[in-house]
Amino acid sequence: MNKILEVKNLKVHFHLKAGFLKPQKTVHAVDGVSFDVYEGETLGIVGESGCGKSSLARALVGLNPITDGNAIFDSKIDLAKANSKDWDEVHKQVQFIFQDPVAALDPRMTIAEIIAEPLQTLYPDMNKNKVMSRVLETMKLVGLSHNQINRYPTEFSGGQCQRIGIARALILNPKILICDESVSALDVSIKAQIINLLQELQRKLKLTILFISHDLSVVKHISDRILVMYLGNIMELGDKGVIYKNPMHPYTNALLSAVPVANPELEKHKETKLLEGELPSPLNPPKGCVFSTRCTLADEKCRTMRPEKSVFDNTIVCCYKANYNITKN
Amino acid sequence: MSNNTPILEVRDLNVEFKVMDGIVKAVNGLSFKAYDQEIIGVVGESGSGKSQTMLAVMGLLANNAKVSGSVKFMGQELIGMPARELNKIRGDKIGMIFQDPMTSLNPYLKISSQMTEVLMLHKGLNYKDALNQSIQMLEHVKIPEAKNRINLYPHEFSGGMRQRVMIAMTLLTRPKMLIADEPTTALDVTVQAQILQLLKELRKEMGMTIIFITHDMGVVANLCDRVNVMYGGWLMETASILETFNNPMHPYTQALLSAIPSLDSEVDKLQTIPGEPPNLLNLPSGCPFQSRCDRVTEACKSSIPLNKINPRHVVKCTLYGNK
Repeated sequence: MNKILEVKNLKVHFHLKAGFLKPQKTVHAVDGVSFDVYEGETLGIVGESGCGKSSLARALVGLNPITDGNAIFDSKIDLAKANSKDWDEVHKQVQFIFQDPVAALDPRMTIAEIIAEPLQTLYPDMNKNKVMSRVLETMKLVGLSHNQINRYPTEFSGGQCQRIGIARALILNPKILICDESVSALDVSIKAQIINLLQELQRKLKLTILFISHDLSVVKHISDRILVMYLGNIMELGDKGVIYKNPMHPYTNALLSAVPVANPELEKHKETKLLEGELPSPLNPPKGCVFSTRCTLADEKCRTMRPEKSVFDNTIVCCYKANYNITKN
Repeated sequence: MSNNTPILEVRDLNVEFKVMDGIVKAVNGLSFKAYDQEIIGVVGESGSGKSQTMLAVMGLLANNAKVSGSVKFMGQELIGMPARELNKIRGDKIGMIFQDPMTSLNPYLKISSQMTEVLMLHKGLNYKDALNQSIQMLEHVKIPEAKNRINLYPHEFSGGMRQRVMIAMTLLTRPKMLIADEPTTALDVTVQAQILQLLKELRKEMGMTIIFITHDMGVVANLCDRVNVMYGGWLMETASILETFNNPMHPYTQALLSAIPSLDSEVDKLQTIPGEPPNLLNLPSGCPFQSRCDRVTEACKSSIPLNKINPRHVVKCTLYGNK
């Protein structure tokens, strides 16, 4: 399979303003992650709040500056060195769907204007009839009806607004769709509709999806591979079957066991490995493995040296204590 | 776990709001009982009336609300009770925790003054005793270094810790009943697991009844003894946790359960419920779920019968005859 995106040692740091007698501090939001995204796959990115999953996604569309490293799109453009012309090219191919479907839409624009805007911005020479026919085509694709075209976002429910957000992203015929918690704000019954829509669109349009969510069951349903992040670092990356069945990293293990399952009998007998303590501050991440302060297996080595990634049967793990044994069986 | 007298008995509760466009029927003919030390889960989508029910119990509804029906707490009628009387019960015998702990705490006051205020007001303690008890309670909900941290401001705590502070503050008066409105929805799964564990322990230690509002069926399965499923302001089904998951009777409960992706099984395509939740300004007569139900009949348009499958399992649906 083709690599559509190659991320190498990517860092996103935010510098806090220094004050009088106050040294400058740096938030290490994303601290050197490397991974590849293949054409046509869905890569799920999971982790707790503050793990850097959104900062990473936003950096890939230019909403956050990239501090260091490379992100090479389609073997052509390095996002870390892209100029505004390059970004225009990238935005035609990489589109973003936000968490809050209502807040993401301008309340003073009609649906037609909202959906047409990316096309008019990036292809200013396109004639009006062509734009309108693309708008109608895309609306049909996401299940919106033609007679809603002149309405305003307030007249729509959350689920409908998210369909509009998806239409706005798809009108450019992008290759990559980045969904940052795009179904988290929706009710259960509506959430299922939007997830099914995304999967259907992916098959039809051969989209590559980066799906970011804290909801591990949704990520499992939609993704082919899973990337587990903690405090700006990759903990584990691998096929969903492997990650969910035999997690090798102790953090993945703890994260998965914390998810309540909608089955009372299983829940009763489940052994939850409760994580102790709190997420360390990204202002001052631990010196060794970032998870070492909360890991039950951590020893002296974990606390002083950051583990390199090791590859095991297509699964990447960054841990000295990774449980390799389970996968062998 | 339950004995015969319920702690809370809600009977035929209706909540309506008068707005510009008409009358919003938020809760319709709701009846249920909560027994001693029981954890009841209340599930439903946004607008199903789950939060408004609990606000009605606490007397915290907005000014344009009209309430009818009866809410009895330990034998006392709460609906229509004057605020002065109600203040002796809410906060003292009934505690409530909300979804967002940051907006529930006063950002200008230290945790110490917010917690001691509760004890000084409800229990008439002096500051020193109140402070000691507050520290004990923070330790009880497993906040490390409680003695020092009580002097911090809310923003100096993380989300999970803040929710612990809220829980500790609510428990200071040792309430008989705790109403929790989506208390873990804004938290990470790892923190959620800690809070759920804590609530289960506290229920046993303090002998509390808990009413837990959520939309997460996983949380319900983890925590609750019984489940109330609400839709469009109506109670659609109430049953024990095992019956709800193993033998859901109402088409809405069935659809809700099959719409969730699960960690322990794999499906190609998620089941969806077509359409959208009903408009509470304009509820259809009969069953509110009729327009989205795949087993709808002519009878659904006129009335919703109340079917008792067994004493602890009640369904509102025309599919089932009265037994």
